[in-house]
Amino acid sequence: MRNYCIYLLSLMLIALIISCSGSKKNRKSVTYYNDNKTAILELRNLYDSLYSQQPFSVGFTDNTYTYYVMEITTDTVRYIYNTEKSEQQLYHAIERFHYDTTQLRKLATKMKEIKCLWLDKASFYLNEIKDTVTFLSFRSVTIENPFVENKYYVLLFIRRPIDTPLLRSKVKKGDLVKLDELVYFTIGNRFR
Amino acid sequence: MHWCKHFVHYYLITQFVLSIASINCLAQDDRSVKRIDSIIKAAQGRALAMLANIDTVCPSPYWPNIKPSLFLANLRKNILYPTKINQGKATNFCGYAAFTHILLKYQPDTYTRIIISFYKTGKADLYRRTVKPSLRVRDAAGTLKRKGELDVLHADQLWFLTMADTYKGYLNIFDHKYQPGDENTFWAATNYGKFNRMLREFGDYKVKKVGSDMIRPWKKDLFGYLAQQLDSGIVMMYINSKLTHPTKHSFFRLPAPTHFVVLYNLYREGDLIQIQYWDYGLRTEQIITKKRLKKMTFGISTITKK
Repeated sequence: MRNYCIYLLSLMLIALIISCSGSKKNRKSVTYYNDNKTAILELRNLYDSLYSQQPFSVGFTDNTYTYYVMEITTDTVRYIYNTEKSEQQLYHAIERFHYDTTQLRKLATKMKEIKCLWLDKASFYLNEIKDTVTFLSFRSVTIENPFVENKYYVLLFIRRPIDTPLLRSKVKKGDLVKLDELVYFTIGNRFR
Repeated sequence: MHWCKHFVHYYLITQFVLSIASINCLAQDDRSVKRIDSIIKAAQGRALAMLANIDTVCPSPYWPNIKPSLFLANLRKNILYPTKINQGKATNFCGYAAFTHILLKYQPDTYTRIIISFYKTGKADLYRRTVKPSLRVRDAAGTLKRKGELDVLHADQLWFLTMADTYKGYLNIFDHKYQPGDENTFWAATNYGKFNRMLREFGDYKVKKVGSDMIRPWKKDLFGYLAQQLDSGIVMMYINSKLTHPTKHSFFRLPAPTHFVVLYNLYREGDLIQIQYWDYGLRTEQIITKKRLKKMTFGISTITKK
């Protein structure tokens, strides 16, 4: 009987630890966003300015935030270069598309500072009208637990407040967490 | 009426043989390139002429949720910009998109004839069989949401859902009937055998294949083999897409293929390889190592001729 109680208590303790770790994960994005709010705003402004020159997405390929990867997109071609294997080609592309290198350097430094894994934009449609959302992903929980499928935190920045039944249900279900009127976060198995 | 149908088939097959033969045998000099371009341009012209005869207002009784305006705009875009077709966000339609890109690029008239037949009659005659999509997918086409641009591409929704509904492989064994949301589940998944069968049946292509779903092709010089295949026809690759965007964020990566792309070109740059391929509606260029090329490649299908 005593053994049975010990087992039961152990199980409850494990369940408690798991549930606490879960809630901690959910809070991480809020903390990250609040801690880096100014830096994120600056990063987004830099990204928007460079993006208007030529659309691209940018991020890191490694956990030490050493190698950058950049995907430059034109109407017909996507160029994928990184500083690990194709540094020269990346510099040529930057030159070819006339990116402001000072701004680009600032963006890269800022991303490294706040340990942002990937920065990108995606389009979506509401009532057949196109809109865009900016994604910023960071930190993988796999570093904490190697046996869990890769999960990434993704902050989503929309351009205008959206109130649709679908969005409301997603927020209600917990798939999306509203941080403020124009910022949401989600946890996904992809960082890009 | 029957002879008319046969005549149309004969005409289309002749055109196809001509275009593939031209691509294969005569692609060496400028004159041939011009000739290929003119053949493709003529096929595009025929496709656009077919579009001009469609009722642009009345919805199809077979596809209740397809909006004619969105359907026709999508069709026109596909004919004029064959590279732009893509599977949309969060779907398992990459195999169908890769194959349709080839069909649109080399046989836009065949593609248009088939899709218009689906739209008008709810079925279409292919080279070897008649395809009749189920009521479930006919009701679902036009309702897909949160798929990026695919939300408003009603012709692509019709096409991809029909292909997924028609062709089944062992990956679809437990999920045969479409349910809403199945576009990103095993219902829509494509294994390598199914992909090659689709190429043969839908486009009536002759396909030479190496590789499988589990084991990589046994080629000592993969670069040399791919370059050789590019000289003999159109090359499609079955790859692990995570390896095209390598990261060190994950501890474990499943060594299995996940994605279909169309190989355009391949160059050596010192120890590295510059690879150019069609992926997700764009020509994509990147530099990879020999080792990565080997690791990511699971299947190579070469379309030679009919």
